[in-house]
Amino acid sequence: MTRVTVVSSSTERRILIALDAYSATETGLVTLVSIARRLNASLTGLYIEDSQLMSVAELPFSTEINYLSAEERELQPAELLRINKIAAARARRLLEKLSSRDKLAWTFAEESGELAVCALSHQGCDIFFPGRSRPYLSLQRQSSQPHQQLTLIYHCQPEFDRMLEVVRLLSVNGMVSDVTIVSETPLPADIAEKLPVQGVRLHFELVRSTRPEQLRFLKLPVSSLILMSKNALNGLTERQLAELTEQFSYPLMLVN
Amino acid sequence: MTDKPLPPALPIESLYRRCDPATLSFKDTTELEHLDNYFGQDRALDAMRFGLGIHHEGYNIYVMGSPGMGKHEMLQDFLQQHIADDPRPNDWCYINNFSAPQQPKVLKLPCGVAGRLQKNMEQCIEDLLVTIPGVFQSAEYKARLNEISEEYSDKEQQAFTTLRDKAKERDIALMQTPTGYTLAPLAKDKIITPEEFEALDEAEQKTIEEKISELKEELKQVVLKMPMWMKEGRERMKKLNQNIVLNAVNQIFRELEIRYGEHAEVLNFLAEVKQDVIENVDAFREEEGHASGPEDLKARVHEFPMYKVNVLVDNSGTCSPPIVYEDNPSLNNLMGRVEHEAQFGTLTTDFTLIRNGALHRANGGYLLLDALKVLTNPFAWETLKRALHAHEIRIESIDQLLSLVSTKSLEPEPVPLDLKVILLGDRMIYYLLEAYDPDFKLLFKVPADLSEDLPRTADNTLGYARLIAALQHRKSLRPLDPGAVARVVEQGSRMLEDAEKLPLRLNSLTDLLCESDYYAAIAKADRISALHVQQAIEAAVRRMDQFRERVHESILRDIQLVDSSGAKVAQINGLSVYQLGEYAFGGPTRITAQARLGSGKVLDIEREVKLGGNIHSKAVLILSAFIASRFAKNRPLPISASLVFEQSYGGVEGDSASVAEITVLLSAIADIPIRQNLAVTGSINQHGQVQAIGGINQKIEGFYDICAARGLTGDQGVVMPSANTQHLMLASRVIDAVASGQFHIYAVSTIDEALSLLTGIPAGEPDQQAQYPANSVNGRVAAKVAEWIQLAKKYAVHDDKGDRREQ
Repeated sequence: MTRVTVVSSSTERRILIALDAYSATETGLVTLVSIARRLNASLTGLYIEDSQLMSVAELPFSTEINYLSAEERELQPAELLRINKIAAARARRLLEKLSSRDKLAWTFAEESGELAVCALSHQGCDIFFPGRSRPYLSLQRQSSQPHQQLTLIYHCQPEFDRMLEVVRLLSVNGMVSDVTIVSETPLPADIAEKLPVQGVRLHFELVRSTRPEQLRFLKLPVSSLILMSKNALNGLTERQLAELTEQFSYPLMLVN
Repeated sequence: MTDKPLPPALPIESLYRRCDPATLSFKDTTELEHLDNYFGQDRALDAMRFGLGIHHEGYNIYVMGSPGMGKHEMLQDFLQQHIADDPRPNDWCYINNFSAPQQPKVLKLPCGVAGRLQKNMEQCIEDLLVTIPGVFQSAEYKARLNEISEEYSDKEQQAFTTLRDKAKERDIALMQTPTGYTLAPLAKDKIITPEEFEALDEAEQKTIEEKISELKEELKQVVLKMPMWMKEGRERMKKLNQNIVLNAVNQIFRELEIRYGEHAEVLNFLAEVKQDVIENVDAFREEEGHASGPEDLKARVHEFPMYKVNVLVDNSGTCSPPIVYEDNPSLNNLMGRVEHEAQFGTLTTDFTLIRNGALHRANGGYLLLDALKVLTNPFAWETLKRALHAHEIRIESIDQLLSLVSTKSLEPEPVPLDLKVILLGDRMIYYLLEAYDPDFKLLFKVPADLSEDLPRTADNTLGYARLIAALQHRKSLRPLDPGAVARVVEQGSRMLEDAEKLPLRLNSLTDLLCESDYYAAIAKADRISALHVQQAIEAAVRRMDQFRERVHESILRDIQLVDSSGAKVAQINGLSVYQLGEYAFGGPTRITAQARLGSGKVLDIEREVKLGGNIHSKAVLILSAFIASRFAKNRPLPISASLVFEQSYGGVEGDSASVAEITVLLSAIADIPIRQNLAVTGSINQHGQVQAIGGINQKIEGFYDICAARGLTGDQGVVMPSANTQHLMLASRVIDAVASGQFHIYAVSTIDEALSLLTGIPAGEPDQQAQYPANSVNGRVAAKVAEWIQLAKKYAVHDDKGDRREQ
């Protein structure tokens, strides 16, 4: 029998997981719960019913193209409501099960609105977006293990130290094998010293822009968890926020 | 013409042929050179040598002999000596047929190679399980994998980004829904609400709808491309996986290919395995979090049965062709079978569950089977013949043979068959098969007929002693002294009912030796002596003779009426043998007759009530013919007579009572008393000659025992056929009584001799006018017959007159 020693943060931390009908997957929740356990964080599940989509469904000509068959069919509000109800209930059950297993404090809430906007409206917590499940191109095996690839978006903000603390905690608990720090400026020399975890490979990547709306164009390590400062999203329009969560397929953690 | 003198009682030397221990020149059997089991079987051995030596189709062998001959041991010994220098047999395996898994392939390998290949393949799977996951962990692989993954991810993203941008230019937003995509109109970078849309004029609404409609078609095209890209991506990844492991897999197989370079079929198999491993390389990748300790590896080897080798026959331990005896030749035990495993309530199978049969194990050698067992096991005989005809072993279940089930099962490739089948059985089965099964003659062309006995000459007696020595040694018994050997020889002749023969039933002989050894052990003797042999013989009889005691007791208590003194008309003591398995005993039976004027018919009461067998009825017809021929050659025999075995409630069979029956019949006709102190046995032919019968020793002893129990009178005895004199091996109690003149045994050749002895009156020889002396038995019978003829004539005249009156 292997004895696992869990090193956890002594700081009180709350993580909000933003879920909708497209992202409430078990893999995402398992990842989050593992991270929360290492970070000694409590969890808040926030299920957000996509109000914009509901509104679109009420348009007279609205239809949807099925992603498996390319078949066109009417987009019905009642059907969307039903799907959301089921997805919310499932997300709640999963969160309850996983949190209870790892003895984590948890709460669950439902809201209607736009995913990123609603999530960001909650203050005093880190925010976790599990990443949109992509129907296509899941060529690689889905890993059921907590993240081994971690990408930090460097913005030279005070939260970066907190991000490094998160990385350190996850690393010493064996959840990380590779850390990539993406920056549009040269990195301070002491960063490597702040991550002295044996067995974790460090990579640095200099890019033209680390602006959130440009993230989807970056070549990031496959299946990586992206850590970014919550403040980096300041100034984005609702549409830009919506596009970020819609088009970004990686799990994203916004550190408060 | 004078009457012939009565035949004298047999001298004591005729009653038992002793084996003089003095003629056996050894102290005990340890001094004797051992003799093979097949002593005295020259004819059968010649046939065996011929059958084993000839290599043409159908020259299989049928060894025939009675049960208890020791056929198996004899045959095993003979084969071991005969085949010592023959080539070693091949190993046989089943391997997966990668193009048709339901038809496993058979693999023939030199002796000892199959087991090695089996181990090597298991090690190979272990090596693959260690090596392949390692290859997938390499940085090179991960980089190339990411490249492909990103390429297709970019493709998808690019397609949707292009469409999204195009849509945005037209103030349309591309949105994801839980099960697909939708398009919605934008106004100032915000999605138009239904109310805002309603507020637009009709033309604007129509324009929006047209734009959406156009984009929708493009969206459909993009979505339709996704599965194609997905498939392409997967194929590239599969190719990548195959390429990345190719070198590692080649390295593992290279060693095996060198090791089995001489075996083209093994090389083909290895090439197929390698190809399959490469095509299904994902199966060897470790599951996440799956430990790969040595135990796990061993367990995981079983996940790849398709690469294993099922060794059907491993002859690595043998140095000569196999000799296989199948004790239970059922269809499965002969031909092999395909076993099944229950998995989640369903029966499944694969080539690793093919099990061998006796034909597989004996392939390249010799298969010994009991004919009766093969014939009585359903489908075994037909399937064996089919295999011998086709020269191949095809595994078929009874279900398949009967077409009872039509579920998918294995059809293993037949194994080429090259062996000699040796059937063992009795003669009756051989002749029945020869008569009724046309295939039998084609497949079993060599009969090896075992002798049941051999002449009891001095040389053979010494040979028999050597055979006894061999059996004693094999069974680890005490040595036998000459007296014991002599007693065994005598008992052999007794069991055979022939003083001139020695039996070759090794089982009985072995039993007698073992049982004698038991009594020697009780007596704490170093050697087995004649006394121990005698104790063993008597104990064996004692174990079986309760029924004899009951029968004799009923006679002695006058429940079953048998006289042993005095003289009675129309009543005689016949002798019967009761056969209880291998144990037989004899005893007297009263036979009576009645005769009167009649139509010339002898009524066999046993026959009438269906208690008489065919041979018995035949004997009665013969004696009727004899009487008619002797006493009424030129005229009708006006006699009606009846014969019966008194107090016989079971069946009567055989002709050994015909001398007694004719005697009692003539006694009834002529009112001549018959001596009850004599018993008689013997069959008769139509000319009045007395013929040999079976069970002579038991019959004599049976009557003697009754007389002895009542008290011997000195005039008692048995009349028997002289042809049976050579069979006499009587018990010592009878011989002692004869020696002291208390009991007499008479051997007769003709019915007249028997009549004279049994009636005490000369039988009478016919004179030149064919007339018998008046005071002879025949004369008195002839006179009575003449009297009845006259009476018959008188009654015939009365009948005629009566008839006329009626007219």
